[in-house]
Amino acid sequence: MPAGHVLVALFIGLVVAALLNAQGMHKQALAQGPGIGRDIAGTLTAGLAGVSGIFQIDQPRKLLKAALGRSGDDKLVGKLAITAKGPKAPAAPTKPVYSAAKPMGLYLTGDSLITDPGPVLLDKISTNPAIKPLGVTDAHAATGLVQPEIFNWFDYLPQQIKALRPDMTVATFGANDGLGFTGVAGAEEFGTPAWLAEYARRVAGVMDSITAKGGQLVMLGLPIPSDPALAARWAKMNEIQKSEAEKRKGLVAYVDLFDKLKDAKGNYADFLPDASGQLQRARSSDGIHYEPLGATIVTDAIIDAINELATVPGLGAQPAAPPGAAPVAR
Amino acid sequence: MLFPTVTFAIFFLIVLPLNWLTMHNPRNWRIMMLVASYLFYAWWDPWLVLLLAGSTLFNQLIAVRIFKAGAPRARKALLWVGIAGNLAFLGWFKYWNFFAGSAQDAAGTLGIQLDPGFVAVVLPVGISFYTFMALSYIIDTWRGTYEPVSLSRFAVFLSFFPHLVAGPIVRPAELIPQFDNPPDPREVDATRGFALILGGLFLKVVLASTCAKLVDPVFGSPKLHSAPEVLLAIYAYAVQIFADFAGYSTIAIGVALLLGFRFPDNFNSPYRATSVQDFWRRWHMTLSRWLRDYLYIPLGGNRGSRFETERNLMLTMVIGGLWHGANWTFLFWGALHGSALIVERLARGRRTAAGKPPMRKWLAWLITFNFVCFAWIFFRAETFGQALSVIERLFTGWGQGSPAISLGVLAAVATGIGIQFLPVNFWADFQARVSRFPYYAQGAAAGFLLMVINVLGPAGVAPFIYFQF
Repeated sequence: MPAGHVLVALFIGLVVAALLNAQGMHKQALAQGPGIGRDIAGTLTAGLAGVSGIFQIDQPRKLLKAALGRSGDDKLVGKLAITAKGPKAPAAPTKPVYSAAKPMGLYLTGDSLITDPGPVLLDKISTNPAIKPLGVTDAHAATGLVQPEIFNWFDYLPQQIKALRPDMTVATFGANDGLGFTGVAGAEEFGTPAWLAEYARRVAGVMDSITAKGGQLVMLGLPIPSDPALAARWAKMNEIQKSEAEKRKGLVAYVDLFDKLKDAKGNYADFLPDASGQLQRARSSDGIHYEPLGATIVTDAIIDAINELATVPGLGAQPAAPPGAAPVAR
Repeated sequence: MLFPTVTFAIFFLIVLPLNWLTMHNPRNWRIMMLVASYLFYAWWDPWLVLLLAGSTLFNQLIAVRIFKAGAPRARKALLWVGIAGNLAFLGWFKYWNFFAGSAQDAAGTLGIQLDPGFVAVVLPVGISFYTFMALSYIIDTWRGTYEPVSLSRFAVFLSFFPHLVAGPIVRPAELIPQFDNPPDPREVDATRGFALILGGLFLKVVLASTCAKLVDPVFGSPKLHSAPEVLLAIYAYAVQIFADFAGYSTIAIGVALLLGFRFPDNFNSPYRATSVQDFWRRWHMTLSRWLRDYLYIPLGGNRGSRFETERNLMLTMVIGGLWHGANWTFLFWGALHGSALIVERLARGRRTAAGKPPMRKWLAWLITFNFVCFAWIFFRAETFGQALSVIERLFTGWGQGSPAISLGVLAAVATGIGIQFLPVNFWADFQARVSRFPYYAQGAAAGFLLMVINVLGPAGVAPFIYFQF
């Protein structure tokens, strides 16, 4: 085939693919962070999706998606189904008591930051008859509350809570939320008063939907990351999570992972002392996720928080990490 | 920049015409391709380009000095400087924390708290691939089988974007001469190029990503999964890593073909192998032959005693294992394959000596396939503890439900294994038929297939596994 024909064939192929996939591309374009790239991609793909829709070119994709039972994949998120009803007052007066006869249904969910502590926690409680894990760790990496286009927690969580009826949920959100809001309704840069208010509304919505059926929630704050700029963003988001958790005292316990994962000098550290005082790698090379020791520290903090909310036989308070070991520079 | 993205599609739509427009003038073409390749690489992180440029300058300097040096001792000394430089470069970025951590663990068991000085570096994508290609260049120059070329030719060879981040590991003599003998722009093997790109996308986006949906949770928490789930996850990982890596290589070969260049094949239905030796002739073939030509044979190959041959085999496989990642599990995976190769050699020798016929093919396949899958457990697991947990669940996790097994994963595993047994000429015949269609029809069909691949793949395509190597 002559090179000129190759170029034309390639161009035709990409245009055909773009028209057939226009709905999915438009959704993906809107899922980008605010900025000129998102604006251009959003406008271009909106036009493409319009043309595709008018001439019914989007039908093969729709039919194929329907045949696979995934018709909702391309649906754009308009108004969020946030069920925040505000904090319940008074908070749960007494701690629920669980036993082998009445085990605590435990549900673990969130973004990738639950991926490492989840299995460690499930392993630790695997022989405790007073705790019944509800499935495995329900992690959805690269998701959060800011980009429902990528994964809509506001639709997903109420369905999960209704289906599983957990007594205790351990959740973490926010690692992918240090961005501006996006969506069909427009975009808002991170950190503006409007952003902070909307994020608080979303965090409250998540907390209320998890506790709506009477369950309790351990809300894991974001761990201190290695990047100072990211740490500043996450500190703001942690403030919101902590504040919303305090409004729901007795139902929601907030776990401060900035403190738990700092070194003796109060800074981010890749290496932290383990239970015997030996320095071990606690954080992944990305400065965000956990190595086994980090996951264990988080797990111990979760167990403490569960004990704060409920009485579970055999789930003793966790020993504090030995203090004062010298930090190791990154 | 990743292949299965809109960004790459736009990039390629610009580079493809520039490639053919400048092809008649090799100097202009080299400038254009160098800029394009560095841009492709800088998309990950601009500072990576400095590393690539540094590696290029260092290896070019060494190769030219080796070529010009007359005395064999001087040539050899320069070669060792080059090898040491490349290994130090790779070692710093890829292995320093591993060795430092191992030293720390060893000291810890003796009650000594050691601060070996860990470095906060992100592994530069593709470093293992282009470092091995640079080593080929200086070793071939030292051997006298290849003469150094101009800096611009070598720079394009090392950075040529189709192979830059995950191979195939191309030899200088395979690619550089193609730069100076431009292909005929009237006869581009485009049908094959399109077919390879679409086939690679299908492997990556559909098969690898679907398998990952079972593999990740099972290897993350094996104790929470039943034995059938664990068993299927092991086979699914075999399909995932094949589809992931062969997918990338196939796309790379297809992209190069549309630009008019031919790369060597990297995979040849590895799961139809009937011995571990056969497997390594079919799996990541460009790495296997690199290890054979630059490590196994220089170590002595099979020219010495039986012990020496077995030692060379084991060393080659262990180093090959460690090439994949800085972890003891990779080293163990390499040692498992090395042991299997030694056992096969012994068994073959005994059978021949006893005048026995070779093992039945189906039995040999069954043993080989299951051994390879078993070894993948250690490749996939992050720790030995995790690998042992997976194996333990195979024996203890029976008699409970297996909700994680879905029709999609079963279909992906069956397809991933099934395609290994397609007749040898199946794809060539298919391409020959498709090539009879007019170019615009081929383009439209490719567009339709892109949509099908996009829909069949699960939401969120997992990162390429081999990028971390």
